[in-house]
Formats: sequence, structure tokens, C-alpha cells
Amino acid sequence: MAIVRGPGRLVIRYFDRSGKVLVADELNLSGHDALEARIELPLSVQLKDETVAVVPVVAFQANPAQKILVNGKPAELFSKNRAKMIGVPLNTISEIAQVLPNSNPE
Amino acid sequence: MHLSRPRHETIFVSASIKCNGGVGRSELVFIENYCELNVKLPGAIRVSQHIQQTIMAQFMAQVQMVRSISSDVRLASPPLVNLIVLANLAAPGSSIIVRELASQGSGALAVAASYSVSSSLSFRPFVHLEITHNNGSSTILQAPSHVPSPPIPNVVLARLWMRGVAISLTGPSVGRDHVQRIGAHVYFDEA
Repeated sequence: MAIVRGPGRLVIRYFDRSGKVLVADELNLSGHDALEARIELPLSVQLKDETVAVVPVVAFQANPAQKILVNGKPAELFSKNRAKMIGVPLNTISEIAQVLPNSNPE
Repeated sequence: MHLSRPRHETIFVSASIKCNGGVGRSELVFIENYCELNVKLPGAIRVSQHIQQTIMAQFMAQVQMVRSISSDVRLASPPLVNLIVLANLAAPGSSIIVRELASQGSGALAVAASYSVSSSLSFRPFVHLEITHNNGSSTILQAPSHVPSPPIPNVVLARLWMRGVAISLTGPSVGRDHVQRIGAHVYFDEA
């Protein structure tokens, strides 16, 4: 569960253990500053033969004032902990860590 | 916060007031959810009168979500967004009128590199507005609704729920990327 406070555009990418993006969400919120969205984040997806765990990573955040919490933790911290938990290699974690707010989502 | 008027605003109305041979000026001051009529008269005489419930705050909230799924994925959970659109904004226990509540949806199975055509389907999300009253009860409004609702009293919270659809990719769909775009909006007035 992610909690997004405030309007703005947001991109979340879901990486598997190898660092491949399997799912990407783009969320646009418009309205007053007190808007709060709660989003169900998939933590696993079904492939052809197996179910794989994924790491949600905030890849783009248009409004720096927007607050993002995942399971009660800052999104960046949650992503790093989740990556370690499912066994993502360290070099992949560092690549994922570079896909952080204000990078180009395209 | 999007209000029809700022919380404090002075508007000079065109009325002129004659008193003891002089001409005064009136002004209408909007403060929160009431307005105050000040009449300035010659000789520093000031008359104020509160006019209750004459202005309405207007709120809007829009949400759009685009979910892109890789061709490797056969099944992903459906998108679900719960948007709190009204909490601690309207005066506690105030009434609201939902002017419009709508949803939009589209989807497509994008082409793989070796295909020259793509197909598209319509994925309209399930959208409803859950309004919580100060006694704990709720009112549910379903989208789409393009006419104003009756006044809904004693509102303390309004939540917009938007749920997409889960797509299982099998058969001809396998090997193609999938994009689902869904959206919803609500416009309402505080009475």
C-alpha cells in the first residue's frame, strides 16, 4: 500500500530480480494540496511458468513536495529493503537506486 | 485548495448609500463560509451584517493511472486507487452537492516487434464516491453521474474509489505488451 500526499505526476516501476521492468504505473493526481491517494502496489506478478516478486521503485516524481510512503516507510527506503529481501544483486540495486525522483521516465 | 473565492476577499459592490446628505460605500467581505456586508457611511459610521451560507466552496479531484505491463507477464493485480478528496477542508458537518462524478478508461494490447497490427479493448474502471457522515454512516454514489446530487448533509469525509480490471493474457495476447489507462474525477460544492 502506497500513500501519496499532494497533487502531481508520479511513475512507479516494478523490477524483478534481474532488474527487468515488468510493470510500470503512471499516476496523475490533480486537485487541492490536501489530496491523498492510497494505491495498491503489486509485489508479485504471474509470468508464464512462475510467480515472481517485484520491487516497486519511484522512477519519476514531478512535484517534489509530494510525499510518498510505502507500507509506512519512505518509498526509497522501502525499495532498497525490498530489493535486499528478494535477493536482487547489489549492482542491480544500485542501478535501481539511480532511477529516483526527477529522472526522466521515458 | 481550490475555492470559488479566496478565503478572504473584499468586493466593492455597486450600491451607493445616501445618509444625512452624504454618499457611503458598501463592501462585501468573504470570510471562510460566510460573508460580511460592511457599509461605510460618512462620519465614520460602520454597519456590519453577516450573511450566512451565501458562498460555496468548490472542490475538484482528478486521478488518472496508466499501467503498462511487459509481454512476459501473464497476470498482474488490478489497479486500485483510493483518493481522499475531502477531509478537513469543508466545515465539519457541512453539506455538499456532488456536481459530477465520472470515470474514463481505455486499454490496448500493444504490438510486439514482429507484429504490424495492434488491437484495443475498452477497460472502464469501476468508480464510486464514498461519503462518510459525522454519525459514522456512509452514502455511496456510483459513477458516472453528470447531474448534481441532492444536498448531502453532515459530511466529514469523501473518498473516491477507482478500480481497474485484472487482465489475464493467454492465447493470441501472449507476447504483446499491455497498456491500461483509467481515470476518474469528481467535482462538488460545499453548501
